Amino acid sequence: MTVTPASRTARAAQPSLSALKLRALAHTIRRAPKWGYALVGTLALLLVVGEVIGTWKALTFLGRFGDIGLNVFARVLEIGLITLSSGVTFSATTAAISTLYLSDDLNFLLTQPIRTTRVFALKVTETFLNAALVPVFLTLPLLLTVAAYFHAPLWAYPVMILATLLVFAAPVGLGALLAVLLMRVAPVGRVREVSTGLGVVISAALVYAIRALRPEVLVQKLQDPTKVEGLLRDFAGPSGPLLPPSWAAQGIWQAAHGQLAAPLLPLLLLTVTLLLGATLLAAKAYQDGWARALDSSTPKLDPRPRRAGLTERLLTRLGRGGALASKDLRVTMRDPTQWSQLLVVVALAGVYLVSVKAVPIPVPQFRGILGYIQLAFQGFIIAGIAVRLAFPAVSTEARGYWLLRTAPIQPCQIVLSKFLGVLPVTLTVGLVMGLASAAAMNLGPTLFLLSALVSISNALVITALGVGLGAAAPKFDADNPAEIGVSPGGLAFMGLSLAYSVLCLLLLARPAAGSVLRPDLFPGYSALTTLEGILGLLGLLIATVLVTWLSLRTGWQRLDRLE
Amino acid sequence: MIEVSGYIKRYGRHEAVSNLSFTVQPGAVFGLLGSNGAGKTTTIRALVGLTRPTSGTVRVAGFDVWRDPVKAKAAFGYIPDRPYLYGKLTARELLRFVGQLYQVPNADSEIDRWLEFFRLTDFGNELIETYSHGMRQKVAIIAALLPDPPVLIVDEPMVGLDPHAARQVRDLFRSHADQGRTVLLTTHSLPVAEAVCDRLVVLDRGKVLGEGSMDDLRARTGTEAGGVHGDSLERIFFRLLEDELEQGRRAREAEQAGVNA
Repeated sequence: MTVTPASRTARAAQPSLSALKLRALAHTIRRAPKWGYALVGTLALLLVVGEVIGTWKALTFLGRFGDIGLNVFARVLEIGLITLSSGVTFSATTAAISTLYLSDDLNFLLTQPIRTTRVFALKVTETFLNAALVPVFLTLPLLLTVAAYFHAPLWAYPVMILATLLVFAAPVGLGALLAVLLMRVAPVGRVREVSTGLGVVISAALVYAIRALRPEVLVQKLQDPTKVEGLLRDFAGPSGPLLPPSWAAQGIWQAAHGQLAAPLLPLLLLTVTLLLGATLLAAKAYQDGWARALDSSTPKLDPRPRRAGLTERLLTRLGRGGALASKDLRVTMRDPTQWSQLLVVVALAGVYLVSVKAVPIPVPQFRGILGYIQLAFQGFIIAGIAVRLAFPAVSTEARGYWLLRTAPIQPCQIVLSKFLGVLPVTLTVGLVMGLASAAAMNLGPTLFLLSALVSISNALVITALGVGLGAAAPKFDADNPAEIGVSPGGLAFMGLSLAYSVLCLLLLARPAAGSVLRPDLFPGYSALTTLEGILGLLGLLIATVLVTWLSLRTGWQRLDRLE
Repeated sequence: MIEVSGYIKRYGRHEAVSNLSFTVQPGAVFGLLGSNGAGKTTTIRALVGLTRPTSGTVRVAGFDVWRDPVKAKAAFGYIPDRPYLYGKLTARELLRFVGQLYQVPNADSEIDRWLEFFRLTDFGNELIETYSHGMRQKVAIIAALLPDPPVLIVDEPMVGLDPHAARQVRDLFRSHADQGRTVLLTTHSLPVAEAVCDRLVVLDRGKVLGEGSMDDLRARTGTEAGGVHGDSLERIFFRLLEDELEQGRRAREAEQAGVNA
């Protein structure tokens, strides 16, 4: 029998890198826990429904003011797109460094007979998915609702989807370009630090931009009906006609009204230029950047032994958990991807406090009720901190976790050490926010005390939830802590934290309402000595202890079962 | 010192290790040999508390690793095949942390001694992320030896080590065992196993092909001294594999004959 070799003229098709990645994604989805997807699906559905209803109601309300009112919506849309795309620019720079330079598969792909530009086009696409997928999904339901509200023609829908992709693809292209340039010009071995510094500057600009909107002035003017129309007229004009998100907003708005969206053309050109530029430059600069990264391994050698400092000596007196806390503190302070999370958090808390102080509320009862309800928003801020610090606490052990797993330390010691390491941050921020906002709003003694108690409870429970759920579903292969929170467990954590903040308010609603609405009947702390007050405080105590303990216990039990 | 009894590990329907039992006495260097996918690392991972056995027990220094983990883990040091360490710590800081976890007395002077031994003193204050693979492997070896554990469990110890360090490590394992302690190592480097191990288990696709000292294995396989490879472990290893293949072939033929009849 003779075997005929395959014809040499029959050439195999070029392999598709996207198909390869999609297949890997499909395998990941198939193997991941189904409950996680069910949870995320439910949360996403709730979010979409809420967004659609909220957008429809806002348009209906503003529509009552005619064109001026609807133009206000267009302006708010523009501001929203500017804010979101600024955020994407920040995260795209760090995401691009991870995908363009630090991906595990780069060494494999670049040694295959594939064009380098194809590899980096894939990497830029991955950067887009990492940095912009969530904002795209957040924006799309809103825009499609706008299209439906204005009875937009069918062709407008794909145009609006394209506009959404473009408005976030442009900052991704910019972020990728910045990352490539940073790899070229940043001091050797300091690329991540420089990119973090850049991120902090962008975040500060974002804080400034939000403050520049001066929401308190808006509230002041809205209290005077004679000024409302003038305010709306002032507010309706475009804010930044030269900014790409403004082009997108105008394009989207025109498309929704059935007009061909001309401002999308410059946006399309800009985005394509940025993405192509980033891809080509990354392909060209990769080799140089890689060589520079290798150069960074030249250390300044000093053979003199450096011994433990005071903090390490003090913490290690607490045993193995203390030793772990000392190690974590050191690693956090040295890793810009970890300490930079603190800066974002402080910025968020700062904006919140300044805004609370600036809102003028003349009626004392209304001030008291608002002062009480805003404690739930504080819970949201604490959850925002915890999703960056507490939830990734176990996952940041990364692939070095084997060292702990094979050492004589119990999972409960690991989880408790992480909890006690993050708690001082959340507790301090929570108490400062709670007490400062209570003082700024001039709340009565009962609400002042309740603010402190709810802040403490929120800090304890939300930190425990974060550490516990993070330990139950750790992600040891993430590039940075921000990535860890964007997971089914992270979203479940945010949802549960918000639910707990609301539960706290409900438990103490009776005594709070009594002290605000009937100060004559409940002077001083007397609202807390009533049956409802005592039961509320008891309920808060039980909920705090129980949820904290259950969260931590779930965390260490699941961590113990982890393989 | 190490007792593995009826150890089975399944991943879904796939049985990675089938009913493995062995004991390693103090004073011995024990080798787990086998090709890729033989089940060596799976067994080691069960011994160090990383992978839970589907059934069977694994005990170190008399403590069940999964029932009494803290006491068992305090009794062994573990060197993994891939030394992932905290890149943002210096070698000294990492080793101090290990010393704190294992409550090692006089850890600082011990760390200095080990760094000197592996010629890492100059690099002791540098971040581990700047180290080469071999330097990281040396730090992982120091981390395992720092608590002076009665049992040392090692997964592919020579990966990434330069010839000088490889010889140092071989000698270390030998002297560790000679002090009455126990060493268990996996390797697919037959010369390493032959040079250091007192007893061996040869695994293939999760099953034991042979167990015993070199003499026991020689006697079982009928390999004798002389020839190009002489009575080397390589010869024994391949003979065991051939025997296994032959047995499998005969079993299939017998089964086929039964079906035809």
